[in-house]
Amino acid sequence: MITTSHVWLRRSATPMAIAAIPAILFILLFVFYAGWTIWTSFTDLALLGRKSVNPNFVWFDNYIRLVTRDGFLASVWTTTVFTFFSAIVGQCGIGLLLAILLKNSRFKLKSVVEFAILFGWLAPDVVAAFMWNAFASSDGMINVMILQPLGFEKVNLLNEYAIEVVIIANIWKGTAWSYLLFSAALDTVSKEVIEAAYMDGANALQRLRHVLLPLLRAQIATNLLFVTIWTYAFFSLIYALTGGGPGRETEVLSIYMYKQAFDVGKLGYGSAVAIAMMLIVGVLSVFYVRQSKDQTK
Amino acid sequence: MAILEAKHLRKDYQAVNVIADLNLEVREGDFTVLVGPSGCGKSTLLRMIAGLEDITGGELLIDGRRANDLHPRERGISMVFQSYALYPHMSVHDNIGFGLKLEGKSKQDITKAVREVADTLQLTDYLDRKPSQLSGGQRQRVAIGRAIVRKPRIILFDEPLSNLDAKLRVEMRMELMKFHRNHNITTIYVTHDQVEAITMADRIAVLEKGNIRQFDTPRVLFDTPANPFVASFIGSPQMNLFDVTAQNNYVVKTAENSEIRLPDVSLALLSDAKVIGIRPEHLKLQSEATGAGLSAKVDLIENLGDESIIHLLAGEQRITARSHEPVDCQIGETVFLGFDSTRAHFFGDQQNRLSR
Repeated sequence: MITTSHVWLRRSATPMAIAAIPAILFILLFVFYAGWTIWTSFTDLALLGRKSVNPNFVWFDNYIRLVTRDGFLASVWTTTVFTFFSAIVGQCGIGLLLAILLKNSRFKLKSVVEFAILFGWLAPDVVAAFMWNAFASSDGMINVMILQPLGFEKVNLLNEYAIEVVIIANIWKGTAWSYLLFSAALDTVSKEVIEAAYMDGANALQRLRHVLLPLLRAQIATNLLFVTIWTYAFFSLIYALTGGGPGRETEVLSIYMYKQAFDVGKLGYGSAVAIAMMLIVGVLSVFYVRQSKDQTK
Repeated sequence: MAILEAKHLRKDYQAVNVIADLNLEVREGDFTVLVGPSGCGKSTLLRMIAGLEDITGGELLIDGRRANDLHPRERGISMVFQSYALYPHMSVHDNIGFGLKLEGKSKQDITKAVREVADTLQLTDYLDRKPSQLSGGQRQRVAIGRAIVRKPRIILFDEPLSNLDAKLRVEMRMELMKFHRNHNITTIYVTHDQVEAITMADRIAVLEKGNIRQFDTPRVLFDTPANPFVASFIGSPQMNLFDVTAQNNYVVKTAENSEIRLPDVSLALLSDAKVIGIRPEHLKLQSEATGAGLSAKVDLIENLGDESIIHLLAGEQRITARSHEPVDCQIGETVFLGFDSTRAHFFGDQQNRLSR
């Protein structure tokens, strides 16, 4: 029952309880799936065959396998590199830089840049993957229109520089979010405070370091939390662009998990990968949430 | 000696001209107030002096040296902002010491300088606090501390009291006056509040539409305003201004066709006068048409305890009178207004003040 001192809330308790039913059902569904995944990660449940009907409870075997076999740790490394360069340095860093640079710029320039980066954001992941494929493959635009006319050999960028290409593609794809968030955040910074720093003799870099960044600390941390979580579990763009290849060069955790669970068919092991991913992201989140605490109090 | 001089100063924002041709001389040690209605260009002028706005034309001299293109620090100028603009993430100590830190001063030097300033501003007990933990008055002192720690030649204030409630505003006003008396730093202070201007200033520049309409001591501004704008801007309630045309026999007619008799004013003065001003406190309510003989209807009486403000209407013209004696008239009643003609201000057709 709703216990509250707000009269208006108390008086509408019945309709609110009815309205809450779908939400409660969904929460139950989420809890069920989370519980199911945790349980599965302790079994050898498979997609096909005898173990799909009668899985054995194998305790921590799946988790031990995570650290004793190569696949998982290599994917952790790939995902970390991918997340660090595409989300933290790329989306967050470039987004912040653009937001600061365009804050006081002329209307036209701002519109053009905003349109360009929003375009990447609005394109569906799979469409973006095809575009980057058309851009970077051996018969793609870079080769045909830039490298060959200049007399260079054809390079299959998707083979030779796969991780670099997916990182750049994801920066292109996701910078808009960070840019929009930081643009809004910058509006909350008092212009007078920045002017005061100027009067105090701070140059542009000092104003950024000593005033702007500390004032945006909470928003930067919150944004890092968002983009890290998203990017750590990012699947579609990379899968459609490289499929995790060549070899396993771009096999991030989500692709590794998918392949283990649905190609190899080890649902139990795949679930363990999923839980491990959640724990890694969870640890990072604790760090970010600490950083986002208000420093002005 | 003039510490700051503005010569033919001009400011355009793209096609919009804000300040056309402004001249100003600020004497060393003076508390100079720039006052005017919103949009008159006073804040723009202050920001040009500060170095926060480019100067489109003319010259700004500080200590006789051209300062148009100098950084605020090189001008020896610091500023207290309207919102105080303290760095919210820094302690009081770091707020005050930030400028010194940027100069590359050693930690000991900074601490010493900050302590000195904090002592004079009674902030010593608060050095470790963040701005959000301070009262409004303490924040203002931190803002002043930050402004004086580098020993500027001139300190600028941009409407620092306008965000405060009435009681705190009066307290802060007194603190600022004491501060100026004790430190004697040349101060330029912007406000839209003429009471603040009159109470604090050594000299006041009244601005209208980017021009200085009069620049003098509060006394002179009040007693002999140079034009109708200054006359109506300085003093509260506002001076009553009548647009008049001279008739014969020491009588002038107002725009509302009321007649004012001024038998002891020279005919030459009356024929030149286009505007006559009389302050509310110099108007007397009478039941008979003696003296000036101006009649008006009582519209509203504000009783302020020790005095009453009487709002009257003569046709469409609003007239305000102030009385320290109890008022015995009723709303809607027609009364006669008299005044001593030596208290009246006369302005000619160029809005110039006419001497008697």
